[in-house]
Amino acid sequence: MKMFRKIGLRSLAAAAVLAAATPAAFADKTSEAYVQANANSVLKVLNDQSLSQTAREAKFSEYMNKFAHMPTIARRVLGVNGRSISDPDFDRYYKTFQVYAMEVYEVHFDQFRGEELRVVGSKDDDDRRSTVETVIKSSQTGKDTKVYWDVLRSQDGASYRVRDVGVDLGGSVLWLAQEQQAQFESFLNRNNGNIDKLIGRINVLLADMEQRKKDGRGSAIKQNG
Amino acid sequence: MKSNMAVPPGAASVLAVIALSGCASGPNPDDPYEDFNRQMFAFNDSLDKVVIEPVAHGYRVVTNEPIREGVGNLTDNLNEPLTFVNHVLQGQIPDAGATFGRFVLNTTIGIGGIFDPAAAMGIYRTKEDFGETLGKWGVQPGPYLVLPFLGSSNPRDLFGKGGDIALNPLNYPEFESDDEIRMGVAILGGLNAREGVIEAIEEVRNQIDPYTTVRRLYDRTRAQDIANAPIQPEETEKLSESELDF
Repeated sequence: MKMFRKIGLRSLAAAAVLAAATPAAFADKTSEAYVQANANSVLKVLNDQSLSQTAREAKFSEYMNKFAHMPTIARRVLGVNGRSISDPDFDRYYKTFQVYAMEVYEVHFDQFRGEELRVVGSKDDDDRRSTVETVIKSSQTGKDTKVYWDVLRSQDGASYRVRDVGVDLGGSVLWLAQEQQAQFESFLNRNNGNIDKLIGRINVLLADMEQRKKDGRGSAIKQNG
Repeated sequence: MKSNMAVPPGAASVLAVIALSGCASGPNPDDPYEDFNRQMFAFNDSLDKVVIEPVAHGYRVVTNEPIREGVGNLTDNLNEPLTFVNHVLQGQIPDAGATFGRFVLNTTIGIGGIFDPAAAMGIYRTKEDFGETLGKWGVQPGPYLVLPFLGSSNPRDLFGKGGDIALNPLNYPEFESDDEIRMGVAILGGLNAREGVIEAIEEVRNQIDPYTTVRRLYDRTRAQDIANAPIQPEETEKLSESELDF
């Protein structure tokens, strides 16, 4: 936990220093530093053998909640439905979504367990948004994989949020939140926007994931190695 | 012309059903035949679960990785003449030459294509089909279709499949039991390919909406194959105010 906080503070400090040094443009370098430090911290958590599985998942979840803003992502993946959903419905959906999202992200990040992520470049999409390009070796295939990070900067420029993560699949980038949004919207459209049906579907998938863990089967992605 | 160039049995009735179901436009403009497609997707998925996937698992058990790689090389090599023709049709003469060289090398030194010495010499495999050629010529894909047994397609790629059969020079030589041999090679190649995606398909089944996942993946992959370059998903949505409110 100390190491965890230490890295977080270091990255914030580095981001603050770099932001101060380059005040005019949206800080590519600061967003790069943010991604480099925090993504590597997440990967270290997944590889921390001193933690129990439960503790590791709790820490991973805690860190992801800081790295990305999960309520915003949860609403975004609902697409147009996210604008009309009532607060009580959203709260019920969010509880399930959060667990599901963590499972999905853990599966995707787990294929890079124990590897070091390197920033290779970035571009400003606008004055508060940047795409950071990183490379990391897959511990399963041994090949370098490009991972892209859609990063937003806060109004005061002091903090950042990851909006989406894109994994390069042989030249085509799969943006996880975008794909989730396409699926969630399609599912809701075919079920008259019924959020309970979506929650039910997510719970079915979560139960399957849990069963896989109990059976020692892991995820399909993990097996692929 | 051999019998495998004929229109598949039932294709006309399938197209008729598609045409009829298309009269009622679906809610998704990107997928006007969604209702029909989903029914076919469910049919194919059930068929896969009951028949194809178990066989693929069995195939994995009785073979090892070198054997599967050899089978994959062999079937890929048999498609090289088709790739060659399509490179020519697309005006990609250097690629056509490389493909021709690969076919000669792998068929001879590579023992009928089981091995891939051409890749070891730096001549790597490219794959082209007539659907891609049509795409290169500017033919639009048309609506997304899921067909029984065939899976994801669209009118351009469906027509392209017919073109592939007609354009592949290896479909023309006649010899004893030629139809049976071609059928056997096609089944073996299909089984080998299915084994290679056991985990990927399982992952797709674990999505919120597997149909949407496959449709988006198919559209993007085909667009990428035609462009021979990465196609990034369009970022259609603008940032909402709430996302920037921090």
